[in-house]
Amino acid sequence: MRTKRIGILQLAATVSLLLAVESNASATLGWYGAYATDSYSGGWLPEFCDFAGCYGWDTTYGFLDGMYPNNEQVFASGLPSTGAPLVEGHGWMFGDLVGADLVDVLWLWTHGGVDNGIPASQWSMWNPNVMVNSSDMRLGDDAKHLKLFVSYACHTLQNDEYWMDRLVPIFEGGLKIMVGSHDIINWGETMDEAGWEFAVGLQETTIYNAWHGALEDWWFDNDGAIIATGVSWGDCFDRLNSATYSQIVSDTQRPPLRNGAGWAYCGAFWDNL
Amino acid sequence: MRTLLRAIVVFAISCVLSKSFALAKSSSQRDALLERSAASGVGIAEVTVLRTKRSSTGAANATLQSLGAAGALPASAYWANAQRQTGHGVAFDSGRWHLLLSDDGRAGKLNHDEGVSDCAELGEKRSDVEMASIGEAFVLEKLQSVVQLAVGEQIVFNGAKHQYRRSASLDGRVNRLEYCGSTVEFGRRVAGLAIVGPGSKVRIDLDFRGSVTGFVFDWPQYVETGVKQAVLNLGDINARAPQSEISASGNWSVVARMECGLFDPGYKRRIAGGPIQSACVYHMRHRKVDSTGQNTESASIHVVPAGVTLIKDPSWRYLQALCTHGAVCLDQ
Repeated sequence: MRTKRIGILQLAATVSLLLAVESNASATLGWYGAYATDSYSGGWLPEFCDFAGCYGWDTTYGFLDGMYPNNEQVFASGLPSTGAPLVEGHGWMFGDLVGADLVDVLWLWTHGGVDNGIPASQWSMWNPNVMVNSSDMRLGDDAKHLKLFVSYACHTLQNDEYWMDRLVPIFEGGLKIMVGSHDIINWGETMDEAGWEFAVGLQETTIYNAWHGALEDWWFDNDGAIIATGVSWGDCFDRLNSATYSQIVSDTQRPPLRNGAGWAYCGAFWDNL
Repeated sequence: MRTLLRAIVVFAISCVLSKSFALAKSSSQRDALLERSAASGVGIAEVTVLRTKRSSTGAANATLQSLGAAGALPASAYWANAQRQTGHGVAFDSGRWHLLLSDDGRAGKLNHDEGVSDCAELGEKRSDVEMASIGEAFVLEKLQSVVQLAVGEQIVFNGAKHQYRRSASLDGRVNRLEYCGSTVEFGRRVAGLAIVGPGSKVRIDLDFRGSVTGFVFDWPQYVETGVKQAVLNLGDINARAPQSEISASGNWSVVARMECGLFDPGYKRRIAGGPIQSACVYHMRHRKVDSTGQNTESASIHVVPAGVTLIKDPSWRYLQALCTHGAVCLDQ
C-alpha cells in the first residue's frame, strides 16, 4: 500500500514538474544544474583550495554564468550528502527526479575514481566515505530527461577494458553524451575558466569541440574524454563528433536511446590536453 | 611535524626531475622536459622583467589577412562576411570551419566542427619526432606572421599529445581502440628562460596521416622593462608553494612536477602592457586510498611567484594573494 501511495505521489510530482518545465520551455534553450564543492565534511578528502583561494565553486560559477541567460538554471547546490539525487530511485519520494534528471545538462565537480571490482566509476560525495557508483545510476529517463552529463572529476571515463561495464548502467536511461576525464583533470590558476569556456563553447560549437577547448591547457595534463552511444557505429561517431547542444536538448533530434537501443558505444580520449 | 613536512618537501623537490621524466610518455618528450628543466630558472639570481607590447585596435582583421596570405587557412574557407564578437575576441565562421582571434590579433585558434572523422590502427601512430617536424614546418612556413621571434628568443618543442578513439558494442563483440591524431606543442624561451603559463604557446593539430587539421597560437610580443627582479632560492620558493602532505586520514598530496621561468597568463587574462615576471608552476596530485580499496583523485596547478619583490598583476591570483598577505609588491 505504501509503495502504491508513493507511486501516486511520484506520478503527481512528475506531472507538476514537467508542466512547470514545459510552461517555460519556449523561453529557454535548456535547463541546467550543478553540484560542486570546495571541501568535504570533516576534511575526508583534500579540498580544492590553495593559498590564493578555492576553485571548485569558482570554476562551477563560470559554467553557470556561461549558460546564463539563454538557459534556465534549476539548481546550483553543494555536493549531495549521500548521493541520492544521482542514484536511480533512491531520492526521497521523487526518486532521482530531484537532481540529475531534473535538468538537460548536469555539471558535477568532485574527486573521482573507479572500482573495477564492481566495476564502476565513482564520484565522492559530501559525507565521509560516501561514493556514488555508476552501477547505481540510470540517467535520462525521468522528468526532464538528462541529456548531457559533465563529470569534472578524475578517472570517471577511464579508458580500459572495463570502460563499457562502468558506463552502460548510466546510458541505459537515455543519456545522450557524457564528458569527463579518462585520467586526471586539473583545477587551479590556469584552469579556473574551464567552466565558463565549456558553457560558452556549448552554445557556439559542437559538444566535442566545447569540451576539448575548455580543457586545453598549456601544460599537457588534462586527460579529457567524451562518450556517446548510437544505433550504429555511424550514428555513434556522428553523435560523438558532431552533436551540438541545441540538438541534444531536443527530444526529436538525436533521440534518446534507452534499454539497449544505444547498441554502439564510442568515445574519444585525449591524452594530456 | 615541521621537520616531517620539511623532509617531505625536500623529498618532493628531489623527485621533481625524476617524476617529470617518469610522467613523460616518450624519449623525445623526456628530452624536451630535461632540456626545459635544465633551463627552468631555478638557481638564477635575477631575471629581467618583460612586458607585453600593446597592439592597435582592429588587429584581429590584420591577422586574418596575414594568415590567409600565408596559406595557413583552408583554401575552401571564406571568412570575410562572417565575423562576430565573442567573450574572448572575434570569431570567424566559414561553413564548418571556425577561427577565433583575440582582439589584439596575438592569439588565435582554427578548428573544424567535425571532431575526428578517421582513425587508424595503433601501429600507424607516428613518432613524436616526426610529428614535431611536421608541426615545426607548418609554424615556420604558414604561421610566420604571428609566431615571430625577437633577438634572443627561441622556439622550443614542448611535446606531443595524442588522441584515441574507443568503440564497443553492447553485445561485446567489438571492442576496438584506434589512434586518431596528435597535437604538437611549441613554447618560447627568452634569453634562455622558458615562458611558463598559457602564453607563448603554439599547437598544431595533426590527423593520423600527419595532415594539419587545426592550430592554436598565443604569441604576444615582449619588450624588456629594464627592471631586474631578484629571484628567491628554491627553498624559499617552495615555502610559498602548496606543500606535499600525507595525512593521518590517508589523504595524499604530492608535487608531481615543477617548472620555472617567466609567467605569461595567456591572452584570456593578459593585461596589455602587463608585467611578465618570475614564477614556478607546480603540478600536484591529490589521492585518497581507503581500506576498502576505493580510491579517488584530483589534480591541481599552482602558479607561485618566485621574485623576492613582486610587481602587482591583477591577472595573477596567487601573486595578488601574496601581496595581500604581506609580500613586498610594487606598482609596475
